[in-house]
Amino acid sequence: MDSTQLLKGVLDVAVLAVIENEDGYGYDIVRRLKQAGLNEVGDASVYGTLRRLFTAGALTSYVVASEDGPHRKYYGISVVGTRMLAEQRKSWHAFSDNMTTLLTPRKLTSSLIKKGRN
Amino acid sequence: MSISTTNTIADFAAAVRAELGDLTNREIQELTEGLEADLEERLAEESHDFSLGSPTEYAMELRDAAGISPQPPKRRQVFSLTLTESIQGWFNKTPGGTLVYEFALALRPVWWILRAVLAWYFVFERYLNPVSSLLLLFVLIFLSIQWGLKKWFTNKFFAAILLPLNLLALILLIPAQDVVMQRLDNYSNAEAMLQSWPDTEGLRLNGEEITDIKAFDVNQQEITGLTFTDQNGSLIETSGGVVETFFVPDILGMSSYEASTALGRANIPAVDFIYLDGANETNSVVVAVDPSTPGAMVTELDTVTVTLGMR
Repeated sequence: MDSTQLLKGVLDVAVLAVIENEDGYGYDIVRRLKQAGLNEVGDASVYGTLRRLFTAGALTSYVVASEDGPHRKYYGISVVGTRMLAEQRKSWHAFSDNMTTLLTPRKLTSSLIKKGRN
Repeated sequence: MSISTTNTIADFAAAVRAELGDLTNREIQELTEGLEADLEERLAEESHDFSLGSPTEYAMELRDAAGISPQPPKRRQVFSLTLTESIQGWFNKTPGGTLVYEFALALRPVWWILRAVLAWYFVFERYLNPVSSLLLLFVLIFLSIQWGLKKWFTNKFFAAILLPLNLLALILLIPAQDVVMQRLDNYSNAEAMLQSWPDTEGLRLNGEEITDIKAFDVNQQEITGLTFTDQNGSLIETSGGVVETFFVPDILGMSSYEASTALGRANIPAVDFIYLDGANETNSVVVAVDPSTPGAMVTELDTVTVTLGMR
């Protein structure tokens, strides 16, 4: 199964989740997603998602000056984003439960086999 | 981090922004703000595994994730731009390719100068006088470097003609090679000719060095003690220097001491005294002189032989 395609559908909620408790800048967020096991995530996909979520009002942003290097644009979750994250969590859990149920081998199959023998 | 890697990142970021050229400046800024810093951080983390990939694909991924519609088909595809990006993307697929690409990038200034020299030689050099021509060469080199650094000539027209002009310059390298070889040959020949020319220093007659000058009167008698000067009054000397001449005084019958004194006064530089049997410095007189003729002339290179016998 192509996990890159799966990731596309859940990247919004994944990004919101990794900055829920701590603000982060572009590459920092990419790093957090990879550390969470989403190794297939592309930088550009994350930056694009950040921009889209920001435009939708789900994120706040601010620039932090740096003495050593270039200034960093940090993103934090907004009230809208928090609400969005809560809804998507609920949706994900429901979806995940359904998929888990669907993909789990059914016990019914074995009982049918027994009936057939009788 | 190497300077070339920094340049590569900057070039990559510029190419990505160029791909987003149909968006507003604000949108481009929102999408690519901090891109260089992020790439540099990635480079620091991934080190040898770091590769940039294609800026076109990167920009497409950005658009897709940001929910921005794909770039409309270009009315006029700028072939140079796409080919350059394709080449860059191909090299950046592997760490080794990135290394080769970075090395080539480091050599770019040499190429910028070379292409300016080629343009100067094949297009302008023959139509201008030497001073203007040299001035123009410096101007062309400056413009070529500015173009290479993307400081000037940054619009799409110049971006589109860059590749054809570079290819033309590459082709012109072939005849330029011949010209350079010919110039080198001419230089070697000229140098060899200069070396084969006779030495022009000193006094010469028909190319042959004059080492001595003598003067004779109408009776074919040599005239000595003369000095020669040129039209400016400068003394003419032979390359071997002036050989001095001396007259041998008449010393026959003189004692050893008297003969020595007389020869010393005449500045005779070299004298051999030969004492015959029983003769010595106190009891002898000069019985023979070589050269024997009184008043004979000798040079500083000759030796006078004086034979002394008992009184």
